[in-house]
Amino acid sequence: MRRMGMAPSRRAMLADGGPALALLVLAALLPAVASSEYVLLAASMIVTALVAVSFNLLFGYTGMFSFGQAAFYGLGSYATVLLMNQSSLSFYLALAGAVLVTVAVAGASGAVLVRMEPVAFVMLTFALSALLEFAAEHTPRLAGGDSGLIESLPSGLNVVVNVNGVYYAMLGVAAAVLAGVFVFVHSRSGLILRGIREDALRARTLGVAVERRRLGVFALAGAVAAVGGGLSALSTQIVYPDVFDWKISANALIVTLLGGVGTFSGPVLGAVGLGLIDFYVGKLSTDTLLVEGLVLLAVILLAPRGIVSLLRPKPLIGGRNRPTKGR
Amino acid sequence: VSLATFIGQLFAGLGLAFVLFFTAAGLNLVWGVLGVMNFAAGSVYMLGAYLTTSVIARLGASALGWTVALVAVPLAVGALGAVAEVALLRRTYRAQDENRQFMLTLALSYLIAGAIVLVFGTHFRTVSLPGALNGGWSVLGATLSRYTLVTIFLGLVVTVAIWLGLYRTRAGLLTRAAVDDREMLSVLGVDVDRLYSAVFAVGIGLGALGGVLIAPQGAVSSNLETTALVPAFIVVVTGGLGNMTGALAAALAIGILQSFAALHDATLAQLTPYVVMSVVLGARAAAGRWGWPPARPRSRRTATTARSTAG
Repeated sequence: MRRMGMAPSRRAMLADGGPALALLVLAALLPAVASSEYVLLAASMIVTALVAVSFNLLFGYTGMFSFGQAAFYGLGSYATVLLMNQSSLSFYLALAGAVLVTVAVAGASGAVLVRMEPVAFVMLTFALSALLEFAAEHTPRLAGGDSGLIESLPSGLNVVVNVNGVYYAMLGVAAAVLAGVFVFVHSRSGLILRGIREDALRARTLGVAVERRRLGVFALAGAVAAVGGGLSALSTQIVYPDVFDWKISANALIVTLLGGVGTFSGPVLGAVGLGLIDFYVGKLSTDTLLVEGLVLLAVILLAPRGIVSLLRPKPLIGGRNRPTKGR
Repeated sequence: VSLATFIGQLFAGLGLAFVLFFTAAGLNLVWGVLGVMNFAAGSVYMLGAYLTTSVIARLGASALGWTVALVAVPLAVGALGAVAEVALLRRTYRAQDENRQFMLTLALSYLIAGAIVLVFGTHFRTVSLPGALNGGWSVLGATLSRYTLVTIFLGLVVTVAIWLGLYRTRAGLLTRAAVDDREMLSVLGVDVDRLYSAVFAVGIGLGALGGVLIAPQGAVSSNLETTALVPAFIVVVTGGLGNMTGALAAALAIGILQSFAALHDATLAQLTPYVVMSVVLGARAAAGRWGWPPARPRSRRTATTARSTAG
């Protein structure tokens, strides 16, 4: 019996999640074989991947082009540090608190945003991140202004003292979040989101509460980005107003498109791919932009559906992944 | 606020507004007509500014040097844009693949920024104006910079040219028709491919012109990309996608308000574009709920796209 599309088969689910799972296993083994330089590289990839996964939930699965995931990434970052510094919570509790704060902000702003036209949605999500950046710059008492905040950490989770401890903490949290996202996108709710992406009007006619679903996934994506922000604060131990910069949102778009939009493993693969390019090109020259541009161009021409499409012959979900037109 | 300050700020705001309008008008053509959300608009602007520094370095900060920069740089960058359109972008809107478009314009912006670092290095550059344009006139106690006056004059000329081009020529008529329904236009026997290449080249050239005009106003550096791209998107969206009059109104409102806000507080000035955009978009959405403006019938293209995607 068909409801909103067919439930994906077990094999298709494995193909969708397999590459990400393989990368997680590799990531878990990494500290045993590589120096701390590579561990820190992998740590930054984990953060990038979470922001891209968050963006992909909105853009890839629901057809909502958010250009403001930096807002929630930055909020997660600041809230984690503030909660740790001011209330001496443990890192995990502070992270959980930061996620709650971010979900509240995403829910409140999303209540308005998800009702906007697609173009207005792009620009207003972006405006939200710009607004928060200004707020962080101009509240020196709370957020430290331009110089940011330094995180006070227990030595067990101090990246200078214990790189691997921090890394495994990050990896553990990220793996749990990714597992949750995987289950979600392959659930009935995930299918409904894809239905909204393909044709919002049709979904509405079939009785889907489109605005409520959009708001829900907006808050969920905010939470995922906030975890990314909290983890980045853990690895860098400092947070600047730069965490709200639009380049973080743009990077999430690039990583997602590079890896494969609307697939589970795509953003994770993209984060690893772009991280490796940046790392090795950065060793050779400071002009990473040119090489990144060339690589992006090559991917567009050779694998327009992203790295994921090289790993399997046919895209798993839908024919054309693009933002929804009808409403 | 004294009269002199008022006139001074109004004047500066107008200068700001027209520089904003060039980039926004370029983006508006490319995004509103071709439907390409051009993330490379900021890099194009930056390229215009950098090319200006090298033209002026060769020919000197003379009237000749500046005339060449004002004419040759937009033409050269526009031609580059046409090449990029034919070689790369053309295939994406045929396939109606917006994701590839995003990636392509992002890749192009990276390539342009990377090439600029390669050729010009990472240090900022400055250019000076011809002697005759330095200084200003005193009007009612306010000092009006000659350069700003030239910017406003050029802005008016280009605005009139865009208006004439869009509303008084056949190419403009076809361009406006393409905003409404490109499929129908090509069915009617119009060479839409050529039209698109031309519109794209003009849009890119306008962006570069904005870069030429901003070059003498401060340091030419990699910051220009962000400082151009963000306001241009804001102006285009505030004015309404594909709406040139709206873009001009938005640029004027934002430029002038920003200039007056700067009197008060630098932060307020930085926030002005966002505030104006949020207010306008909010008001538009609220008006939409009350049924204003009355909905136009969905264009044929949107209807068929929705049907084919749903199937």
